[in-house]
Amino acid sequence: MNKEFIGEFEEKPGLSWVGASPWTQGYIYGLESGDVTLPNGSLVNVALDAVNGGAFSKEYSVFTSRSSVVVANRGKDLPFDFDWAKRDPNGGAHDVVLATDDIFLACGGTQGIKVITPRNPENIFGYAQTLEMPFYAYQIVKHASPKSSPFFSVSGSENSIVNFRLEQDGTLDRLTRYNFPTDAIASIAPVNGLTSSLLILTEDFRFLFVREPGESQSVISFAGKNMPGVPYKLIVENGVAVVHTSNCIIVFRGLIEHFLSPRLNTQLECVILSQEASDIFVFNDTLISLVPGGYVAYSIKNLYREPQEEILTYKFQFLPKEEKAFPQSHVFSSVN
Amino acid sequence: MNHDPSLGRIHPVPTKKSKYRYFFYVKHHAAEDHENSQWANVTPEEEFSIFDSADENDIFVETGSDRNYFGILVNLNSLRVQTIGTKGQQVAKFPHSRSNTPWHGFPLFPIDNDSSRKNIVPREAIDRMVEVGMITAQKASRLKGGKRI
Repeated sequence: MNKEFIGEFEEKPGLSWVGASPWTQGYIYGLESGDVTLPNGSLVNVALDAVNGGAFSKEYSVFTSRSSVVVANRGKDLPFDFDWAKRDPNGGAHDVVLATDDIFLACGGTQGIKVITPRNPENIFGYAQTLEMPFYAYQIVKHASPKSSPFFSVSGSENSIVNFRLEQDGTLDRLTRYNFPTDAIASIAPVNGLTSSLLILTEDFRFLFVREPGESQSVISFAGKNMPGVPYKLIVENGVAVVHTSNCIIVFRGLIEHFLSPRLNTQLECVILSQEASDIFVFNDTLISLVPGGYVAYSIKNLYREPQEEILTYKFQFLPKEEKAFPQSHVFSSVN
Repeated sequence: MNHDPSLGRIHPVPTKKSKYRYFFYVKHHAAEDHENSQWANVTPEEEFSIFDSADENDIFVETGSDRNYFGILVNLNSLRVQTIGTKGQQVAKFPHSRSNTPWHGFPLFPIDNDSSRKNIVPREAIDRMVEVGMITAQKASRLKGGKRI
């Protein structure tokens, strides 16, 4: 067995989250103990529960757990100055993204979207919730929008997705809300390279593709068959779609091109890594899979370049059909 | 037994192990109520079975003299952990009930909304689910991060 090809195991017990360090080479690791390990090896505690998210700007860091959201600045000599750290009194979040240089957005469950503005020390933590139907915010993604104000999608309860822009004053301008009455949403991913496109993975292994989620667009739907496990997470990076399920990790090549020119019964190749991971992360060509005792890192290119017996490759069939979406335009209520 | 019938009906049989009585609290069965956590897609028998299984497998955490139970519902056909709440919740909490008073339960949100850590599944309860083979270590890690399993 070629261990290098299959993946490199790195021992790191209790790992719960991995992020790329914005300041140096290497990763920042979040642990179940609530600690984070920095690229220089130092350990700092940021939460009482497992770290489940992190985001970084030039000056600030935000870490989330299911019971806390904490923001800290870099400090003069240290990557993080936790003497300055501020903690949200209103609990935890599912994840967090950097919205602009000054603003972070986190998914606060029943509280909607947490708007974190470290430059405003009197009022760092604010909230935005949809008015007509309370929205349970579970996952947020940022689109690579060429337009002036950053554009985001949030998935949540009631099988719906809210798409909005962040204005310069920190308010959220909701553009559309898509409700999918018959589809439980497992994960969403922005598709870079295509203007504000969104790929949605449902719990029954359907892929839903929206080309302009900020507009009232129809949704292209593709049904997958015989995929193992419960879908957890979808990541699209450099045209490759990676799906994490309860049983395995599936790497699709050419999936995105398929959505641009959909045809009936198109067959796609995918590589299946048969392992149960607690979470996955992708950084350019590197796929990181969290497993008991540490993580396994794979080169995505090598998965296809040198297929081995240990990795199953098979054809995967899609059945496209047009799906009607239900975009609604409403506004956010902001609470500070 | 002390129980106000207007709070909800009592399940006809007690739990197998501890002989606890259980009632279906109306405030957690009102879909239009956005203040309290609400059960969804779960039959009364399934709701009781979550509590019965939690009791049978000792999935509880004690705080002082209080003992709170926690449980999940696994679909026997798909082996998936089912969604049991209107907001996608997958774990139920059965808060301590004083003696001679029936128990009740509700779906627990995966993340806390007041930093008290009283409203999330304790790590000890998740670890106990692994010990008794109810979930894998990987699923336990996901629950500890507030993720769906």
